Amino acid sequence: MAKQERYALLHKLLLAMPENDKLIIEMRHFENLSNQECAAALGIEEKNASIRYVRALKRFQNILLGQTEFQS
Amino acid sequence: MMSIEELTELYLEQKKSGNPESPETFAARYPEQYEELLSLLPALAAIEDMNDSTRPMGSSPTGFPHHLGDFCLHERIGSGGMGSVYRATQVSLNRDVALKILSPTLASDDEFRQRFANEAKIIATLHHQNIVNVYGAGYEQGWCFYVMELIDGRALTPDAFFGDAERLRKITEIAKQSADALAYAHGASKVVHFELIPDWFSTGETPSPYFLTVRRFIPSSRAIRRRLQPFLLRF
Repeated sequence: MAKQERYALLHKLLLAMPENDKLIIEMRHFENLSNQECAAALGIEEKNASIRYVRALKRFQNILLGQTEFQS
Repeated sequence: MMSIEELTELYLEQKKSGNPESPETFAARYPEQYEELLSLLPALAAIEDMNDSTRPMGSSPTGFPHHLGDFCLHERIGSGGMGSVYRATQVSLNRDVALKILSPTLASDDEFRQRFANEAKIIATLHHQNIVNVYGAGYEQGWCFYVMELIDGRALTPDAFFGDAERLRKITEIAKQSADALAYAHGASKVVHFELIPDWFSTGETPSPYFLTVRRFIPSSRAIRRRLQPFLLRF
């Protein structure tokens, strides 16, 4: 699978995630906010922001495992 | 033992630094959390690789624009501190500048918009050869941004002069320039730096090989309240 196709699929899968998961992933990766800044923006404790981020990543990893293109 | 959140943060930092290990290699260093790390780090790495490939912007999920008013945006050159910094061309003056754009998520919050505007105003009051110049600020198509002098240099990192025979002399020079800039900022405009970490310093080629640029200041009254209070409370 070509790199660009892989990225397009990743993008599509990310957009299909639940809003809360998508939001924290976008903030951490695409807006480059720190955990502290995410917590402030979301009005939650820093610890809870990092827990939310880790959970979102785990859910995304599960989605990727369901895609044959991302199984190595 | 570090928590899974701390390890994830560590790996994200490594990934953003541009010199990452594979998720497997990283996880192998933490045998007790190996399985759990491998249940999320590959996803983190995949997202970050995609993010990297979409620079310059335009196709990231947050859809940063290619143009903002008089400015044509190029690649991202920095991040953090409420947003990202892009190299841009100011079309009317045909000059390269740095554009700092407030994160879209934060831009929807009045307090963050105000804080971002204040940051630009504060830096604009400072005129010192070691402090970056702010040329202007703007609001276009729903995006908040301010325009800075583009520093042709590199970020100051803890290992910036590693292996350099003149390391000590260069570090001393940097310390001297930092102190000079900060003393000026405090004395002239009553502001102090928000957090003195290497990320906020750039070393450039002009006018001296170790020319230092300091960014991000806040009023000293606010800084004292925000930064010193936790220490005072200990006594």
